[in-house]
Amino acid sequence: MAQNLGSNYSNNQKKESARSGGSGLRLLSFMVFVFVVVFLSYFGLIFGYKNFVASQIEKRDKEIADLATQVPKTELDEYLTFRFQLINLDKLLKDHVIASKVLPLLEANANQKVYYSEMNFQVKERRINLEGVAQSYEAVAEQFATLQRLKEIARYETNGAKSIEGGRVQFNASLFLKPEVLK
Amino acid sequence: MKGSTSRFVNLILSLAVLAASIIVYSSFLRPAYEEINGMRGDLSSKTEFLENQKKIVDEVKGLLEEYQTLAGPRQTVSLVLPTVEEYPSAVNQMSSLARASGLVLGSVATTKLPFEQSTTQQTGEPAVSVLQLVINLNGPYQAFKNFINSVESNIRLFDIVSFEIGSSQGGGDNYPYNMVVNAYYQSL
Repeated sequence: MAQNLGSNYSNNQKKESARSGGSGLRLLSFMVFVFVVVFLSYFGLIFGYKNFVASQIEKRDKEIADLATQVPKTELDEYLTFRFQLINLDKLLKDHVIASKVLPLLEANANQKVYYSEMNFQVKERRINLEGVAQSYEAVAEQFATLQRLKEIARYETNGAKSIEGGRVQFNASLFLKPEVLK
Repeated sequence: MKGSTSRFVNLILSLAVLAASIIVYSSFLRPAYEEINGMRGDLSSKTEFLENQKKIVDEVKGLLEEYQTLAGPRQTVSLVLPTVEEYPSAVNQMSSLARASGLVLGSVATTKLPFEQSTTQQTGEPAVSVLQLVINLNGPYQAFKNFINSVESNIRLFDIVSFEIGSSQGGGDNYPYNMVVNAYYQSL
């Protein structure tokens, strides 16, 4: 009986020992598996995926470089020149004025007793400098009154009038046109 | 005793392998992953850039094809605003307009002027330069009126800066005229 009990105890101890040793081995195996996974992942990344990504980047760089050669530079330059011509022309035409409009304006409003001997027109300032001769001071006044009434004239300046031979009157005046007159 | 020793050895080895795994992960795997992640970001942005460039190139090709069909308007625009100063052409045009209007062209002087840059002008945009012509003429008043109208409606864009009509010479219908005109060209 006692011998049986001793034998059972010895068997249980062996089983326990084998179980403990087996679980330790399983833990070690698992750890080795984890290590192998980590190790293989590293090598996979370095020698596999990294090379793949690098080759893709190289391919994209080549495609980008090739793309630049698809548009002929000469044609592109010509096109850009034309485009800028249109842009610059648009700017110039916005500032373009019709200076010839001042002559009919002066003709239509010239007094019969007055004639202009000299005329100067500065487009940027919209200033007309006139030098004229009138039959009398009354004729000069009439002429100025006519000019004053014109809607095209922003303002005018008289620079003086003086009597000359034959009872006539020589005068100078400057007219300033409104901006819209020359458009 | 033998079993517990084996268990202890296995445990120590397991810990050693775990430590090795952690070292390989933190020292090699993780930096390699971060490096490759950066490369993937680079690849992604280059792919996006390439797609955008392809779209732009397609649009440019379309514009160039359209541009090739505009031979007439291109020629007209180049006559209005040439890409070189074309000084002889400007003088020749003035001379022809004066003759056609019945005026005698006394002299033409030309000066190159810098164009006032616009605030909206972008870098690299071709600037407009000014070729200023100072002209002396003689002839009847009506001819001068015709001449001014012709200058303003000429194919090459001329802007009159100023003009002056002097006193009649000899009392007849023959006046001296001075005129300042700006012609433009696009300097590349």
